[in-house]
Amino acid sequence: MPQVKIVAKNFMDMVASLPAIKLDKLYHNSFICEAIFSGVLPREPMPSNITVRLPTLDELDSYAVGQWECFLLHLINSAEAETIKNISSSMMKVFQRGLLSQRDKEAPKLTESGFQFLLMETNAQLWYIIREYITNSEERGLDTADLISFLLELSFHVAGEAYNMNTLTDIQRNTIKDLVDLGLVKLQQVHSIVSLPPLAKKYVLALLYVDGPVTAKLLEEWVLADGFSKHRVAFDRLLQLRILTEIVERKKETMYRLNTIFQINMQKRILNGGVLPREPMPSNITVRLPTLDELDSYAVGQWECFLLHLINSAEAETIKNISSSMMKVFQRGLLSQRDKEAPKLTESGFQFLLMDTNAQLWYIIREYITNSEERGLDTADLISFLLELSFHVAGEAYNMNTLTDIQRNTIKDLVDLGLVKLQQGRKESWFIPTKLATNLSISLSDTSSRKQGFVVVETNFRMYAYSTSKLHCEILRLFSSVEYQLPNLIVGAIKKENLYKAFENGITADQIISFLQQNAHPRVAERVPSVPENVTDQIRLWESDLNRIEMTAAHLYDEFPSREVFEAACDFAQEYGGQLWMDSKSMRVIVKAEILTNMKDFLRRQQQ
Amino acid sequence: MGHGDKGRHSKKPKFSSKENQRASAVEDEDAYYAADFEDDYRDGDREGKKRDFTKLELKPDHDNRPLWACADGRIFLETFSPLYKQAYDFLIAIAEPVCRPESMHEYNLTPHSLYAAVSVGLETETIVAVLNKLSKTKLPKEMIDFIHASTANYGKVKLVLKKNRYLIESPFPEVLKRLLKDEVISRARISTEGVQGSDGFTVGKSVGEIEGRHDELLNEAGLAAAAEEKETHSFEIYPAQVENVKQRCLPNALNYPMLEEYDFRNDTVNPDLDMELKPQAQPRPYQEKSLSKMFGNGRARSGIIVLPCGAGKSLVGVSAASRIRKSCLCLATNAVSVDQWAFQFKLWSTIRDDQICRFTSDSKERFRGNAGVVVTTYNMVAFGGKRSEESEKIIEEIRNREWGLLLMDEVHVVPAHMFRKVISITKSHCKLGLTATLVREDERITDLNFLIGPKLYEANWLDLVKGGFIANVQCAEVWCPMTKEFFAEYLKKENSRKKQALYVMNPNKFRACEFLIRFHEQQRGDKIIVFADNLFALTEYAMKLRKPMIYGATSHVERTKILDAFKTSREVNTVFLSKVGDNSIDIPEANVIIQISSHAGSRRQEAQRLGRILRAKGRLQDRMAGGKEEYNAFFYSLVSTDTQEMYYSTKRQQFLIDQGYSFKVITSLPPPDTGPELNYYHLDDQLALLGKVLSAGDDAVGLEQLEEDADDIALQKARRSAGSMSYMSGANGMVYMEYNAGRNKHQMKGKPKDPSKRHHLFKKRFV
Repeated sequence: MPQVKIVAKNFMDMVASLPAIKLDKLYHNSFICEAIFSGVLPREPMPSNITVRLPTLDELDSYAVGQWECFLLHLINSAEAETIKNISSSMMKVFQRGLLSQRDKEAPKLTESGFQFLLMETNAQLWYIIREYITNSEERGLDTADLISFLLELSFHVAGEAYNMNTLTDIQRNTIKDLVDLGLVKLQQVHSIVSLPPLAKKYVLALLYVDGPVTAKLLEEWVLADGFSKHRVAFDRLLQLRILTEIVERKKETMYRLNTIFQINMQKRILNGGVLPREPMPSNITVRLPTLDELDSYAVGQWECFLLHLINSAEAETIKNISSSMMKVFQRGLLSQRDKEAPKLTESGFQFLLMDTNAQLWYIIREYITNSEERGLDTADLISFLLELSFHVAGEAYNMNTLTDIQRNTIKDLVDLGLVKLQQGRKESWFIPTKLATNLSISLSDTSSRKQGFVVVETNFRMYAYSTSKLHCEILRLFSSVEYQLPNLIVGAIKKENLYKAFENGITADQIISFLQQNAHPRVAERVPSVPENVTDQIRLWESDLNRIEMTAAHLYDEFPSREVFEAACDFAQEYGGQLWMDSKSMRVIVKAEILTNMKDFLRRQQQ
Repeated sequence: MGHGDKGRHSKKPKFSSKENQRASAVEDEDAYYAADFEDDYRDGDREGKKRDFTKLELKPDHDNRPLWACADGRIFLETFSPLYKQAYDFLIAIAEPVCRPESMHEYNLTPHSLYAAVSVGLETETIVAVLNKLSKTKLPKEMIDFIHASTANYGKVKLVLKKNRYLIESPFPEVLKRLLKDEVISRARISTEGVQGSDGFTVGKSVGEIEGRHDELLNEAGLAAAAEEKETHSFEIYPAQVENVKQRCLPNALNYPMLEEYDFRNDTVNPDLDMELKPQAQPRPYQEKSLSKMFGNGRARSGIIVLPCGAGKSLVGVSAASRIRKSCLCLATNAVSVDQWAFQFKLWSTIRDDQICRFTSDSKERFRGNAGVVVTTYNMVAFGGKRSEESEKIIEEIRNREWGLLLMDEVHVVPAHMFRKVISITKSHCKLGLTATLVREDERITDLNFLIGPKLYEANWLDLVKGGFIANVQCAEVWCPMTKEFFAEYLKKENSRKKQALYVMNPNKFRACEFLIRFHEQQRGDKIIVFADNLFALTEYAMKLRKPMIYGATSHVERTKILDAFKTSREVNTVFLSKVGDNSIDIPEANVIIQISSHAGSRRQEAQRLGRILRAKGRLQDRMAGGKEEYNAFFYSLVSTDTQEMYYSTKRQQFLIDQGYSFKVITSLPPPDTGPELNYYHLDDQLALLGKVLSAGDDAVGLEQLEEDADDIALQKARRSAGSMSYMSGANGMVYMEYNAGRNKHQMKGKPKDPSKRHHLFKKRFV
């Protein structure tokens, strides 16, 4: 099953895929240097395309309950529970103080207050433990104030969202680890990280003011044995980005040095600080800026219109700025057209539509960038501009005059994608980046990108979608038959033949199910499962129904000159394990294609 | 729903139609099952077309309103709306429910449903106003027009039975004149000698209706309640012509559907029956509601009340009878349910033993006094052949009496012609039909509509489940792959008549069945019913597993004995039933059903069978939503994969799925690690079974031939010709073959089921 490959999941991947010369050019922009170096500091939830698969809230809940229960078990009976690594036994003792009493050499016993503690509800228990934790913090050399403020901060984070660990201080990180054992936080190994890996950052900082190469040996000496894999990752990334360049000298000793351009710009940046090449325009010039909500709906509208155009050129209103040739480029791989027939969605096209907006955006931007060279644009320029754009503030107006001609053309294309909105003042014109644009820079994504669901699936395979969007209707039509369209409701039925069509087009049952689940209407999203089990089961069964036949390439031999030859051929084929079927009456045998040459040789020998 | 192949007759495998015909030829009741095949018109005409009503104008506060109404009559109702309860009560009165799952209900406005609405006292303007109030969008003009057009003439003409004479009554003489222009009606009229008034109408007075309030919503809409005396005009018609006249008045003809009402309180002619509900008989809320629909205006309306099996239909029937307090004729489908009805009457009401009597082939009782309750079967009343002297007397009595209430159980089962006959024989003021599954979207639902009356009330299954009134059933479809050998035979042309036997006797299915029986008997201590339509399979399974079985030829005594053992004995936890167990055999102990073969695509049979285990068990609080047990009853349907059974199975489940049930598909039963502890583990055993199936006669492996329990004479015949017996004795009787072929021919010609047009040979035997 071919998948839409999202080669670049974020800017770092994108940048890493550039050739060396382009990279050097990129590093002329000190802003980019910083962006790569630090990402952006506030701890925003990580976008879902980085975090591999976030636990659902329910999973998270059960995880939290599990951890908490394990902790409690440990608390009252150290012997039975699995040991908790991070919380030291001395720390545990502190917690147990007052709850357990231990006379010498006896197993510890619950005290009265220990019983009461166990009978309390979880929240009360939690508060008790946290208070103990805080009280104890000073003994461990922690600043109580820091701890409290961090815990307070934590309580305002959104449950179920992922936050980058890099945004934490060391102390906070240690605290978090303790909290993990309590089930307050779930850590997930995250593969692609916004900016440079933390270790890489350290290296860059260490090398920033070192002119001239450093030996590899020296660098390796920095690393403890158990941290070597992290070192490797950080190092590879730096090499990939050509921030670190390898120099092999005559002594056959590998040397590394920072990319000079990157180094110079980074130094400048650190000394001077830096701003974007352009500032938001003052509000007295811009007449009336759209509110963020308006901007959002504008962006969504533009994007949907673009998608609709993408999958069904006939129905959508035409988009002016993106030339049809450009459109074709986007459609490449998503649509296939046989001569004179209406273009049809390909497998990857279906998959594309079912992706979430961010992933779709990345796919399109990627195509756009790849294609830029054909249009005579410099890829590095484009990437650097897009990256820049992503650090603009959504909803602010920026003057068009600050843009180069190329950038201005690019902006016009981006309007159609809904990344920016153009406005014309009396004298000046300006562009307003939307959330789509700022989402491009990964760390700037926000929770609202998690769209509210709209689909209700019933046990009778009927589907009710609370949506006015044509695009939704088109997407639903991919795997169901739409029966009624009402002003704010689409009524459809998931039928076998619809699904068979979808499967034929390469869409998988899991994709459909996850689409239905992700977009479950809030009314049904709370219920478990959000899509009735019998429907999901049936969709999977229908899919597996289609995969019951296995194809084996084979050859049929008949008209053997004699029974002896036939039997010998059968024996031969059996010996090679390649006989699939034989009928001695009609003297026919079918063999696997793999043994065809052997079979041919054998028969030739027989004839002689 | 999703199984896309329904409603596509063209794609229906060819063999099915043949088998169908064969099946339907067997007996009339069967023809009804077969009719289920052509019933999917609602899916048929829906398919492919999408309806775009995006232009409808949304009201600004649409979030607070619960429904969308489409120009084609389809209505969507959000069940999570705060107005759901009111909207549901209203919609169920004016529209036909299409499907009622958890979050969103669908309804259809039809002329019949509107007719029902009018007959329970709703007025056109009220319907439009309330609908508009509930709708998120402005009502489409087409819908308003449709409501007006369908209801304009409704409620203007009434059929009244007075002193054993049928009168057609209306406050508008011009309407009567229009009716009389119709040939059928004018012929049906009994012209009175003396001319009263120039047009010959009898002029009388009647009390105007005092409208019962529908619900609060309607109150707001403002219902006019007029209680003036109105002058009514009427003429008399021949009793024999009543049905014809009624049919002529239906929307597809003259469009003046007649309401039948019985003013039982002011009926001084018929003697009162002294019966009341016992104090411990407390109708549940939905039973109360259905009764209030029936007695909404102080009179008794004729109509049908639809309640799921096990939801207490009999209490509704008994309550209705004790409210009318006149003689009551209660019709059931077979002798067993006659006993059960008589028992229910005694259980819930204060009726004396000598006031109630059963009239079946086995027991011919007569009540004393001038009023009473008679419980009998449809066949006993409709039987046209020669009767014993005693039953002739009783039937004469039934014929001559003016019944206050004609109570009809399981109205969906009985063939239309039998209905017609029963209704023309008996004279009743009010008819109440009871059923669980009104799934006949074919023209026969129309039959019921004019034969009995409009649907007065239909309960929502899921709501009853949530309320703990009926059991929460886990439905499962068990996919049993055909074994290689069976499938090879299944595909052979020469075995086309054995297809059913082959997929029912599929060893994997047998093993799955055996596994389930063991699991439920041993692990849960459940009581299990196994259903098989195929008699060959029934006997094979039952013998192999050593379980008792009941089928058509099992005598009444034996049936009662087996059922008693099943109810009381700890040893007997599983009973095998053929089709005879589908309807109205009350087995409240059972909570597991395993269905190993079934009648083609009959959705009704599926629902009826499910109904056998719907009676709620255990304590109420455990059953309520969120109670201790999630499921307390289990319904398994075993299906051999890749056979026509799969196709039928999908169709069969449609009704239940529309009621909000879901079927879980189980693919690995018995678990792969089970070995020879279940039968047919070894290939040799399987092949022996295959040989047995193949060597059996075609007819022996076919469907069960079930005879009606008509009268003593007919019953004897039935026993002699039962297909299974001939198979067991090894002689495939020629008589039986002939009979089958003849019936086949008759069916092929496509003759209607009108008894008068029957082949003369069979006329006598089967009417």
